[in-house]
Amino acid sequence: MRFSEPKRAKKSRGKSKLKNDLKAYSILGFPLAWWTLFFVVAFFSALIFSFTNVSLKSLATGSEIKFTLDNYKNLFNLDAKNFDGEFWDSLGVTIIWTLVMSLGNNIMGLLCAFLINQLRRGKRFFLGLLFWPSLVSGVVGSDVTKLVFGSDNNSLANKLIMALGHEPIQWLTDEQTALISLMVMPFFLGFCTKMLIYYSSIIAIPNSYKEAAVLETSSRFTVFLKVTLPLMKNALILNLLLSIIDGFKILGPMQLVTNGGYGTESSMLYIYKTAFEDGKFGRACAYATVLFGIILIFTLIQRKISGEEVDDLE
Amino acid sequence: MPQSGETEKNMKRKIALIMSILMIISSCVLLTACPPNPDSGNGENTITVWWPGGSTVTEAAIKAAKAQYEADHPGVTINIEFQSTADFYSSYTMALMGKNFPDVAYVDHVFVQRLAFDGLIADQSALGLNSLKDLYIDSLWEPNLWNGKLYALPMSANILARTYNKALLSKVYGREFTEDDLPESWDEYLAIGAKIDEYNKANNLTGNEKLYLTTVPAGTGAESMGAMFFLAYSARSGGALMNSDLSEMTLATEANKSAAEKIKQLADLGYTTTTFSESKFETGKVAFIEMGPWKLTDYGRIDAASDDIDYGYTTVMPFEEGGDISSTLGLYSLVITQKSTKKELAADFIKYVTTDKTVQLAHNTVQNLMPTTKEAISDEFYTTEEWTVFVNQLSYAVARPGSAAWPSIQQYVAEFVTGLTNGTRDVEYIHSLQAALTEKLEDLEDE
Repeated sequence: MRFSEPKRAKKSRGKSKLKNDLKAYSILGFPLAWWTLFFVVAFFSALIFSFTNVSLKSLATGSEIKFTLDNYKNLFNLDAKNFDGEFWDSLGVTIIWTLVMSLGNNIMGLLCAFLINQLRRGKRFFLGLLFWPSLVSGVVGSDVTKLVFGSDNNSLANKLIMALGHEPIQWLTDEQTALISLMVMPFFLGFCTKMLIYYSSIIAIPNSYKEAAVLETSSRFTVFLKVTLPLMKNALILNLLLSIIDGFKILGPMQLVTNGGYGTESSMLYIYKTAFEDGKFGRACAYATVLFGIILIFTLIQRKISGEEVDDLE
Repeated sequence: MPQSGETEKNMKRKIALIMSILMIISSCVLLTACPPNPDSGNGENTITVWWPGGSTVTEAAIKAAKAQYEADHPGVTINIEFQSTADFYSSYTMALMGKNFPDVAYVDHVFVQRLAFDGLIADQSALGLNSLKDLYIDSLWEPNLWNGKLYALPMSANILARTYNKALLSKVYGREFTEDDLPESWDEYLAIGAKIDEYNKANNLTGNEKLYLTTVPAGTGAESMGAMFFLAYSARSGGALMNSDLSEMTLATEANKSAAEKIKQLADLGYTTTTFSESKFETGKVAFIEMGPWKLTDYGRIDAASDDIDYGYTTVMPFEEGGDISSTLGLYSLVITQKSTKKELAADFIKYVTTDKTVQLAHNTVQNLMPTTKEAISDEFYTTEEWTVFVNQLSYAVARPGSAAWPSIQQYVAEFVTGLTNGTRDVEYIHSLQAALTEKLEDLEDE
């Protein structure tokens, strides 16, 4: 009898655990179903559609949908009659955007986090202050871009240029400046969250590491480069990965400010227009699949580089 | 211990099974939560009509029309569903793919031919509506046809005419500017530009104080107006953007080059602002603008409030004396969805709202738009000095080509106008435009 007590307790603990798990999973059931329906099902549907000629016309009229490789041939076969160079142009714009934003936002975020950490007082104040821009909505940011970089003499950017004795610039309507002008606002709105992640990573580093390093060198930069930065690897990789994904799916500024004109059409906007303006859903799904593949490759590379340390983070 | 591991494994399997069942059940719940097909729920004598919402006065006008129609036709129900104007067309095309589509929709005429080409809207000739042709203003009939068949009935119209600031021009002329001074050719127009330029120099007006002859619709946000502006210049120069059956781009022609040359000339001489600036016209810095009647109320208010502004209205200027005075048409029409099972009722309802004088006036006067029937346009409301100009201009309307490629055409042409205005494009770029849009058109035709 004495020996049966622990067994019963164990059984009861197991039941209670199962009950708790079931409770948790039943709560998770609804979001998971949502995710299944709108992401998993949508993803596989898009993948299948990408091998068809499905269009607005075929869906609305119920005409026959054929399986075809044309959507991919138009992308990869230069000799194809309908070779779509515009998609690759838009991908070029997206890559430039992603590179500038990923590097810019992360350098800016890292720098701000590092500098704030050096402060003796007012750390929270400055964190809050620099985080503030992230509260601005993307639509408002786009409107501000229009106002700041308007092509007339009244825009802020042109007033500055004219004050310096130069002629006003057609910021948003000249292919040489349009993309750069679009980048400015997201650049300043986009580093805030990254800065917080870097900051939390910096303060998690034990002081003893830095103190030991200071004994070796008096250069703060060397300490930062050789001690702080390697210890922030996980945060760095996480931020870079998020930046790259954000960069590849950029749509808002282009759609709201230039509608993809003047050399600013991103891949996502091009996919959107192919689907909803031209009504070519099959083709748009093929483009989306290619873009997904590119993001996946970047993610895998990141995981490879980061190795097990990202697993720790997870 | 191995026994406990086995139990844990079993438990995990059970949880995974329960999870999967939960996901499937929840997915089913989500799917069944989707609204039912109104077609199946609607009675035999019920149709759904999509109308642009957002304006209480317009909504009231169409609700009154619905009430009147229902009173005249006992047992019939008209479901008016107001939709956001911003994405009305894309919402309609999305709805056409599913089962929750409206029987009738109010669409920009530029989409009529494309919807007809795709077989998404009903041939209204087959429903006997082409017999109504004589009731409508002549220039508003053609844009609703595709391959000689009627696919829409015109509901609301507008057109760009010339508005000018007499106060500014009188200041420049040093005497009262009268209608006799209005330019009737391109050279006369440029001569006024030269006078304004001299005035600017004599009075040292630069920067924000500078006066301009006109403001060309260029820059971001002016894509629709930019393309309409070029279309009108092209028509006045004897050109067109596409051939009549919309199968080919006809951009790279001498007529269109001449139109582009004129826009470039305005920019090179500094007679236009570099981006479209309605505000400069409304603050007395621009002499001429091509604008629609929807601005009449605003302009009336501005005119009354400022000594620097005295607006006058006239039809658009020909490039040669007595030449073409075409201007771009804005037209909203009613289409019947091909999949609708109540086409007869839908046809009768759209016949009522587009031809009934009370409905036409109630719906269009509140928006400063024009009715589409000959009877309604002859109403007293449209006989004022200002409205007479727009009514006359309506006889010289040029419609945007209803090609499937129109969104791209609009964007490319608008960018070209912007490029001509800010000096980043020259006239010969029209050949590249022709090539790019031809490729786009061929691509769409292959689908």
